[in-house]
Amino acid sequence: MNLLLFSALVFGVSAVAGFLGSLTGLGGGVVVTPVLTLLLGVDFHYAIGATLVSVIATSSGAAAAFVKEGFSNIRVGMFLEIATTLGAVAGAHLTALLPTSSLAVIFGAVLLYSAWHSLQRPSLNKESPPDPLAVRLKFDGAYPGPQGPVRYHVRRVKTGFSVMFGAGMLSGLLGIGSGAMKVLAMDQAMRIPFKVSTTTSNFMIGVTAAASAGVYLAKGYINPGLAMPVMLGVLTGSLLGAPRLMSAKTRALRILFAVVVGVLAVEMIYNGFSGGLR
Amino acid sequence: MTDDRLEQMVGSLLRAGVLISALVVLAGGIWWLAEVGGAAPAYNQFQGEPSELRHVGLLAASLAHPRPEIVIQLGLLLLIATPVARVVLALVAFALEGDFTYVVITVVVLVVLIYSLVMPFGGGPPPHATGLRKTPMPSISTSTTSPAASLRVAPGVPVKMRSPGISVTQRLIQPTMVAQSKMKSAVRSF
Repeated sequence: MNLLLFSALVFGVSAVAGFLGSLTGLGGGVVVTPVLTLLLGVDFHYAIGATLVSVIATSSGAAAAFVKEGFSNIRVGMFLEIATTLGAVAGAHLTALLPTSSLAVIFGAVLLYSAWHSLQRPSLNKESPPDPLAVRLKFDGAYPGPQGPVRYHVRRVKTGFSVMFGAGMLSGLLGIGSGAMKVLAMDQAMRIPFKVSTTTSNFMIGVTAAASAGVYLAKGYINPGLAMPVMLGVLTGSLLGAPRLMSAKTRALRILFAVVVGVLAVEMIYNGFSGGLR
Repeated sequence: MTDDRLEQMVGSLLRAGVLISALVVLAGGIWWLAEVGGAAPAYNQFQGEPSELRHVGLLAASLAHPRPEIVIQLGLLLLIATPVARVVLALVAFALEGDFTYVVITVVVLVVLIYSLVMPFGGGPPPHATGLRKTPMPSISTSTTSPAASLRVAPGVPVKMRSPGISVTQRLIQPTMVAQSKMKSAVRSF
């Protein structure tokens, strides 16, 4: 196989990753990392460098559309980015101290449970009043639904903020899985509508990934020849996927999300046991 | 400024950043594939990138003599800069709105972001450097030397010559060939 064919193959795989990533609010690393390492025999360091590029490309590519359409909640995103970026920095400093392999297994198990749990319909009957903190931070908003704008409230801001710190740490420690935690924190803890959760996660993951980019670049993980088809493929996929989200049914998106997160969880557990992470 | 206006501006900025970086990466990618497209991919072993692809300053300096890898990496840097730029834009927008709470929130995000981007280039190795690195163990190395080189001579004894000189070799070739041909014919006659 020559580089031309290899790049075309990586472009195709990345397009699928970008498509799935834009619909689920995940970075696309779920697809890119294992295909590069397991199927194409790429070294893990180059693979996580390419994954970082794919996360930023998915985020910026899809979020451009989501923000303009009014799906992503910019205020929620900006506020929670404090937690994710601080978490990412903390995670980067903790890699030397914590056993990343066992952490990968634990987080994988948590994600597996969360994937199953996210399929259960959240009980909307016990409508609690909106969190006063959410009101003060002007979180409450509306997103475009089939019959005009749908208004929503944001709940349990402190819990969401704490889980976001964990999500940031996860990306700093393990390089993957932060998108899934972000969606789960907004959907399950803060009770934000699913489409707003995934699109706001999409909006945020670019900034969390950019926080790790300095380290990856300085250590030489970002290989231009490999990152090129990944970036162009992911962008193409996310631009194709973003318009689908607007018309897609929430239930279908939930199932897709649960399946992708389930696969991600299995990958993390596998990586933990095989010692593939760093 | 309203939130709706902010959304439109942030969306446009993200779109522009993605478009520009994609065009730069595409241009570099076509050039790169035209040069090395026929070669076999070699990503199976981590070697790290050369320093001009790892440091922003060196990358900018090497733009004077661009190579395809430099162009692609420039496009990737523009992609990484896009989310940072949108945080800056949000900061300006919240300041114009007079929304003090969100000015503080955005400043905190920006400071953490800049710290984490600049930290690995600052003094000392990045904190990651103490992590575990897996590298393949080199196999047992073998080396072959000619017997002449391993010839042991007791210390103190001068070695005049290790092999016959060129003049001797030339003189001995002819008699050796003649003698060997006679030996062979002698064996065959049995």
